[in-house]
Amino acid sequence: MTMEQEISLGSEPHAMFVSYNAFDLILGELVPQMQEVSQSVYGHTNPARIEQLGWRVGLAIVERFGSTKGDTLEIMKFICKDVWLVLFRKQIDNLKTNHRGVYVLTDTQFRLFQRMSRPTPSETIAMATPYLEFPAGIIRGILEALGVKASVKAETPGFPTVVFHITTMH
Amino acid sequence: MTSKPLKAVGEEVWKTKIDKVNAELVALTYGSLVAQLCRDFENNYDRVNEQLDKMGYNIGLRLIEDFLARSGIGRCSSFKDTAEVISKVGFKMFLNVVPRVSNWSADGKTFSLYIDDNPLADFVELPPQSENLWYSNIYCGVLRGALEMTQMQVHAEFVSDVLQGHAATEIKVQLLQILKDEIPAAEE
Amino acid sequence: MAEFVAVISKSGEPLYFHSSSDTKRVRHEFLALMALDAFEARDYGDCGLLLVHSNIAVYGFKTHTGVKIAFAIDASTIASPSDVSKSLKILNRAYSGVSCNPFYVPPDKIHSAKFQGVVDSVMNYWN
Repeated sequence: MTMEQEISLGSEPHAMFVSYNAFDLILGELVPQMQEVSQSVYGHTNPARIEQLGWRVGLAIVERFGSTKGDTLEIMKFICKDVWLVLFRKQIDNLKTNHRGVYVLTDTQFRLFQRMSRPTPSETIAMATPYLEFPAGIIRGILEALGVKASVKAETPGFPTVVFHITTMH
Repeated sequence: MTSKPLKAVGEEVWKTKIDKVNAELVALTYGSLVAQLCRDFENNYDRVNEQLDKMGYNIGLRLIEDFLARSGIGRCSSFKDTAEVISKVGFKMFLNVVPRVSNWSADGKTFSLYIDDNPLADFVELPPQSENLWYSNIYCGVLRGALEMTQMQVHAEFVSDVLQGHAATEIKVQLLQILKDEIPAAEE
Repeated sequence: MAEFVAVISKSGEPLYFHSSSDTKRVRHEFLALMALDAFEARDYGDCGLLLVHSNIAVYGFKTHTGVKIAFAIDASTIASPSDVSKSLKILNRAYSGVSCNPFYVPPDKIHSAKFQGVVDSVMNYWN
């Protein structure tokens, strides 16, 4: 299997590819664009809309590529390994769970941060928050599509690490 | 300038220097954004088009560095050359498609790009009454931004789009002016 | 002879219905409803034959998100299992394409010319 096939989330062998750079560039502009539009249309920025975008992508990822075998932990592994690898060129670095519906996913080199402009260190964490909403939404969308209702909170304890706190509900 | 034919350059760059991602994921991400903009602007498609162009412009400004670094292409000798480079190397290395360059104006300042198999348009079926929407308008902005960085001021716009039921997806690119380099006056 | 194609949401709402004939439509819808029960117990994928009733055989496919695709043919048709399987996979793939249309938000009703085109060609294959 070629690398492309390996990282194509099990879609057809003749899947079409574009450059990762194109994807990277679009992702990098996505947040500033959403913020700008939010500001001009609604008068304030609204990270929830970015989360919604991710959610929609998450739903489609499942329908198009999804693996439904297994319990919630298996789904988390799917997200941490397969989905993250294709979206962000690396896997989630750490997955923890209390085996009672709470999962913590840590990415120590979050890729979207590389695309951010960084004025001052103190402003940076505040600027980073919207960027986290997109992957948080993807996680929530994937879970929901597979029948798992969950709340997903993302935070940056310090660059370039991102931590996702997922609480599944019954 | 490279001595290899541009088509071969583009293919080699694509094959050897480009990390690849499943095109469907990119289409999904871009698509969600376009759909969201349509909702935000309450289907005022002129505003959506404008926003997509803006987004593309910002991307174009950044993309050019990557393009020059990976392709090794030097300065183009003519606008005709530029068009060929855009299509055979630029589009190829980012989107793995080679739009057809055609429809040159007599003064050599306007040409059209015809895109078959637009990767961003995969799965897309436009909502009713969206005839004014240029779904892939991001391309026009990218062209504008990237060419500005190479000292060319252009106007790029969609003429037709298969998503709208037209026969072809065509972008018209017009050279407005060559921007002079800001070279400080030499010290005597 | 193909009878109908139905797409039903996870929670049982009809998202799409195509019947081979207007006069049979009511009977077809009833059969699709009956098939829902047979779907419940199944996991993702080709669910095979769900039921046979009124000389119509209903086959099903459950998508990754629990959406149910029902495909029915005349029970007297000589149907090779692999042909049925193929048709179901084609319909599933087409449905996943619909869910990737950014202007489609599940569980909207499906109004897709592309999807209709695939249904038409699957139905034609069996006729």
